[in-house]
Amino acid sequence: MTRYLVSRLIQSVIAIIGIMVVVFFILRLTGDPVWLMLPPEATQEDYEAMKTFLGMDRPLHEQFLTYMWNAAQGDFGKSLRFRGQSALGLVVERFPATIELATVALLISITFAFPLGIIAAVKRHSIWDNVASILAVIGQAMPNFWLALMFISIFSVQLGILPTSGRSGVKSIILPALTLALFNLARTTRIVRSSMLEVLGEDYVRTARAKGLRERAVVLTHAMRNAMLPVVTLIGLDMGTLLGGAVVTETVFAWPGIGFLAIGSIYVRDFPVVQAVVFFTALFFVVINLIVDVIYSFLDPRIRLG
Amino acid sequence: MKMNPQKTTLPDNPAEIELSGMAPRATGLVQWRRAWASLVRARTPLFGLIVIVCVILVALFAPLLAPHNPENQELRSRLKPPFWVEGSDPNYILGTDALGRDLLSRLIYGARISLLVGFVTAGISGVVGIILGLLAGYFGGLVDSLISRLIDIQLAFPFVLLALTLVAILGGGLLNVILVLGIGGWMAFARIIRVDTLSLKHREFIIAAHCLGVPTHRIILRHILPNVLAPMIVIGSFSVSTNIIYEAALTFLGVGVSAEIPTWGSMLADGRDYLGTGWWISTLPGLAIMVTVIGINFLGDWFRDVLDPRIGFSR
Repeated sequence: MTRYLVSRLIQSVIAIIGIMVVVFFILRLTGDPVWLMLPPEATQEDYEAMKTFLGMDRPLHEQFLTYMWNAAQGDFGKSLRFRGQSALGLVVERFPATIELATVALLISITFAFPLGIIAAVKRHSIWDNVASILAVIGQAMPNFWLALMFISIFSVQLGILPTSGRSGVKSIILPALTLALFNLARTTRIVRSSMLEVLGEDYVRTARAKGLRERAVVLTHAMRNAMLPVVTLIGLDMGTLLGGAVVTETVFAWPGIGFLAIGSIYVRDFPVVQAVVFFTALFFVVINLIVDVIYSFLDPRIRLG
Repeated sequence: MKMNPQKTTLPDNPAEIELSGMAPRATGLVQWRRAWASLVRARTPLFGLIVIVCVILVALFAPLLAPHNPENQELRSRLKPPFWVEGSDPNYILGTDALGRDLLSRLIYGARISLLVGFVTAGISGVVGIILGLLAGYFGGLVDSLISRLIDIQLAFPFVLLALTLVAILGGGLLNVILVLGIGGWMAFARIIRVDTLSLKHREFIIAAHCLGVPTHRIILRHILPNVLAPMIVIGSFSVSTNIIYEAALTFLGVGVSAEIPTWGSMLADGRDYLGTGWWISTLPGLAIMVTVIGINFLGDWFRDVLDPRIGFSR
């Protein structure tokens, strides 16, 4: 177990370094980032000043080493857009908003996905099963930024009952969370359903039925508890997918999380912040993956890590 | 490559070698006929096929089908609603946008970009993924660990954010979007190819080919590749549909394909500021994306049922 964890940890660190290296070199090899970060009307003097400010006047290998060394200490330089603020500090500051959004979205999708998935599996080919499959098809095909616009169009513009954007009060989280939840809801329902179907065919379920247990008890205690295992893992990993989806959703609703920060920074070419966002997200992802793996091995003793 | 000569009993007849080496997946005319029958019987794949054929035809014959020039701005007929809404203009069946451009024509031309990006990126991902998957599966060892780690790394990161960052750094434009989505999507292909190659490489017909002195590249290309190709159609179709959505998302966010070309993503963005006065501007392209993607996914589901039930949704 320890050995497995250590090797996973090393792998994760390599993964993060890999992503940082890719971003570093692409940024420098595809043109002069100094010009990219300057407004179009900048003069040659501005250019020189910026170059020194960014440390770009030094040779590439030296820049790379400094960059990695600073990154290892959590220093990604200062934001260009928010003068003087540390890039990573900005990301950490916006992170709670993203987590809040992702958590609410996850709760919404679980609340609906579990009952729907279980009913769809127990009563196959019933109307609920059809609802679940239609939902899966639509949820998979609907672009979430479009759904976001449709929500705004209906609930904010036509009905005027919910705010279009921002983060103030409970009302403002409803639309972004619903948008983010739908894709997830479709996926989770599918997995709950197929996982339940698999378990319902097992011997111990037949035994439970044979000894005369009520269907309710068979489904809820015997089948469901076993079916939850793959679902739990998936929900953990979905936290990561939600973060990715949050980039787009946050932008449409101007939700002040790291996704919105990332897009805003990309627009004005505030690359220190972009790099910090990429680093932070990668770190978060890796940690989540690791935790999910460990939880999984505790939930199912048949799985041995290592 | 390690071999165990005691275990391998070679049939005398070379034809039998080929037969015993056939993948369990069925091929041949009978299978295709059976597949066709199931396509027509089940309604969803047929719907998918019809949708795809229609969209492809629309994209191919866009200049003939579009009633107006998609770039033409008619400022006197701005924000005209589609035909079922009061106040519509019979000249513009699906209405116009804030600059008075005909939405139907823009939708028709937009299909070109969406399909182009979807299919070309899936093609690039497929080629890269198949090559790396074959290498990892066949050679194993260091090559395999390197490629497998690369797969893990890329799968462990939110693709939207990575694509967004890369496109922003490289600069937008059709070519860069295609490159980033194409190269970024190889993992799903490589993962399946790798596993299939691993299980194939110890089969008798591969070992036989090896013993007969067939060069490695020929074994990989002639004996392994044809037997691992079928699931790629499934992955490929889901790759097309996801990349259509990704392209629209990137363009919608303003870092994708240039706003001057009519695309579904840029139309959605155009309508963003007119949700009150012209809700149809962003509603229609979204529907177009959705119907196209559902069509492709239905076909993909059917491919999976026919070819290989193991594969789940990727990415």
